[in-house]
Amino acid sequence: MSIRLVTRSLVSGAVILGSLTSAAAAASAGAKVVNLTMWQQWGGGHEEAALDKVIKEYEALNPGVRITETPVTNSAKILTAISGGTPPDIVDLGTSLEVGEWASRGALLPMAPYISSSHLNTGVYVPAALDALTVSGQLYGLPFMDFDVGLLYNKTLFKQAGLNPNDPPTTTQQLQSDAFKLTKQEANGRITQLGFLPDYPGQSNGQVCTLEDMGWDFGGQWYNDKTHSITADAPQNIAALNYEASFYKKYGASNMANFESSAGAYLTANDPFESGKLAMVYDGPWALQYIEANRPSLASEIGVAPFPAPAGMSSLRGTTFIDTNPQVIPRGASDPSAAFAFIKWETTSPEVTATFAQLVANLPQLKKVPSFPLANDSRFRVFINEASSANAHVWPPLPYSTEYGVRLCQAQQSALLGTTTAAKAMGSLQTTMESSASS
Amino acid sequence: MPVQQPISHASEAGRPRWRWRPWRGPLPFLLPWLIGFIALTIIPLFLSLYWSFTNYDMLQPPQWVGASNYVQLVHDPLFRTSVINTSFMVVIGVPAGIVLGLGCALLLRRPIRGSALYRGAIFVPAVVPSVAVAVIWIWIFNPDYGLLNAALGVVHIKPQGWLASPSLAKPSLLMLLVWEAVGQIMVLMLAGLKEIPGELYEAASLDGAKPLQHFRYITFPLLGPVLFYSLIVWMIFYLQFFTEAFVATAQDLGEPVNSTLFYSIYIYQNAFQFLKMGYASAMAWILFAVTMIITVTLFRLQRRFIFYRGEQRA
Repeated sequence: MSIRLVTRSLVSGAVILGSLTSAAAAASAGAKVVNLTMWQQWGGGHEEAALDKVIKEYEALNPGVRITETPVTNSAKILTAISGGTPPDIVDLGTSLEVGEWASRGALLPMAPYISSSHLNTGVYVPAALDALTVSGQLYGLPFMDFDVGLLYNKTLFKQAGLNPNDPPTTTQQLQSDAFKLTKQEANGRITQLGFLPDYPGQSNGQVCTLEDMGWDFGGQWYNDKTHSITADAPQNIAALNYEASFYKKYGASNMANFESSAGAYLTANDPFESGKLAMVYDGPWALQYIEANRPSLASEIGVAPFPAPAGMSSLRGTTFIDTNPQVIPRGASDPSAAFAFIKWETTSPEVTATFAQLVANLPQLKKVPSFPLANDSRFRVFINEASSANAHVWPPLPYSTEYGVRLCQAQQSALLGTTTAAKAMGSLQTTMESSASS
Repeated sequence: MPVQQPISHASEAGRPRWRWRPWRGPLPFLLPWLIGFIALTIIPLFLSLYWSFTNYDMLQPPQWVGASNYVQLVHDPLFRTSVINTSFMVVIGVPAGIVLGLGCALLLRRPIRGSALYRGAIFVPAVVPSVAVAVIWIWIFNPDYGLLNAALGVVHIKPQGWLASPSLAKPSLLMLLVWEAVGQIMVLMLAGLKEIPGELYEAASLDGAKPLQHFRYITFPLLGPVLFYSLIVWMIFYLQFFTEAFVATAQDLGEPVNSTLFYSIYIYQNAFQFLKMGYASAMAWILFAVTMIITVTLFRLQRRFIFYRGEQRA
């Protein structure tokens, strides 16, 4: 083929393409359709279906707005899209872990101008989750579907171990002695049943890695808002890590690690809790829903209680992290006002909130919602009550939140597996993060 | 397409002997690739060199910080950990793969019954995508249900937590990688062995050489170029090792306790998890420099050790 022919076909191709796009542009100009793209981290399945229903409802109320949602669970991809200047209009994040990082670097639009122009009263939201979206005093997203954790325990295993299934532990000491009674270990060290696995499920359920919860539970904190300093090596945090490590010491670190790594994936019928190999777990209300689907016979045997606190610190009972699915608008979004109008409607509609909460077994982000079946469930109420207590904490939204979280998990793991002591692990975490914070 | 004949008609017309007319030559055909190569490889390459001297988080403009990223690396304990982890893979993995690949090639050199099948079986891992390999091996390594522990159980060896144990995770990944590499190395070696003329062995046998001497004085020296090629290629591969470790520790990169925090994994973590693009770029350039230095050194050394057939030696 000659070059001229190639050129000719390329040119004609470009002409066709050009006329097509101009036709499309003309069509949209005529109908004045606002097209919004939304990247969401619910993924697929029934959660995506629920979101699609919400979107349809909004589109019906607002003809002229079209929202296309796409599951994008990889945060690095969202970040690259924002830095490349081609972000979606709305991002529905699965956790607030990255909000501090992104917001402090100008990747997210502050909500204040839109809140004031649309007269949104943020007092309607459960306050704890708003903290996760507040970076240096500014709000960078609206909360949707909060979540927190408590103690889930398997009553069948309690009965088998001679424990009262209606008397879950209330102190961490009790939790430990119960856990020891609930553990079965073979002569070669293999653990066939475990009372409590302190670092499970960790990141899988939205926690940083459980140690942050345990630290709060022991009265510690990870960041001091007043002095703006990292407090990883607070004595309470070290005590919490020592507490976690005591389980590993008792049964052998490698046996515990093997137990954890041979378990099936979280929230499947083969995960350690659902398969009846783990008696107690620090997990959220959605786990109940998955158990009902995966192992119906087990569902009624699961008890829920506020997580125990150390003896003498009973006011800390029910300590939990709290987080939300932040609805954020990235820098460079094509139509931020239209995007805000949607997330405002989505997050403040009591009906949408109640339906969604029921469907995904998450907590309503609104203080007042119409009654839904789960809201009357005594087990679910444990989580709702915790959300508005002083014991609900958020992982500090800082410019280096992710690094802090990743390094916290590394520190936790090294102490649990016995490659270092709790005090040393927290000490080096403190040093590393101080240098990261200053650079 | 007309072939350029610059000399004849250029001189006839009294014009310059040669004219640069790229649109008539191969350039139009090369252009699509060339554009991609420049935009997606050359420009990012030099940008990353620039970024390595800046604080850059992808969201804000880079800030020049001079050599501070490089200085910081020296004091970063995890940088050291990642260097040690990667060196472990290179120093043990490369020789292990070559020795095993050569061994398989020597065993399957002559056509025995089913040799094609054996060769095929050993080569198969090379055609399986790395991610699939990693996922399969995660199951093989599973402490409770894995094949490896089941096999060891038959001979009464205590089950091991392959990927769960800080001391075993690295050797386990190495095992996986060598398994992937052996087939490819074997095929190369087989080709190399075919090139060795039979007369040499014949002559050696007439002189009374034993099989071991055949290997020592004929096979090994004549395979030199192939061995050298494998050494370079696999060294570079292990220095950049990423995929399988990334898949196996997706939850918590480098777990357990940073024992699988390889150099490339740590680059990724700094770049995409911690948003330290400048720091990650500095790491990448150090890796490039180290790879370059090792390769150049090996090429210098090969003049002394590697013998190419047909080459005259003084």
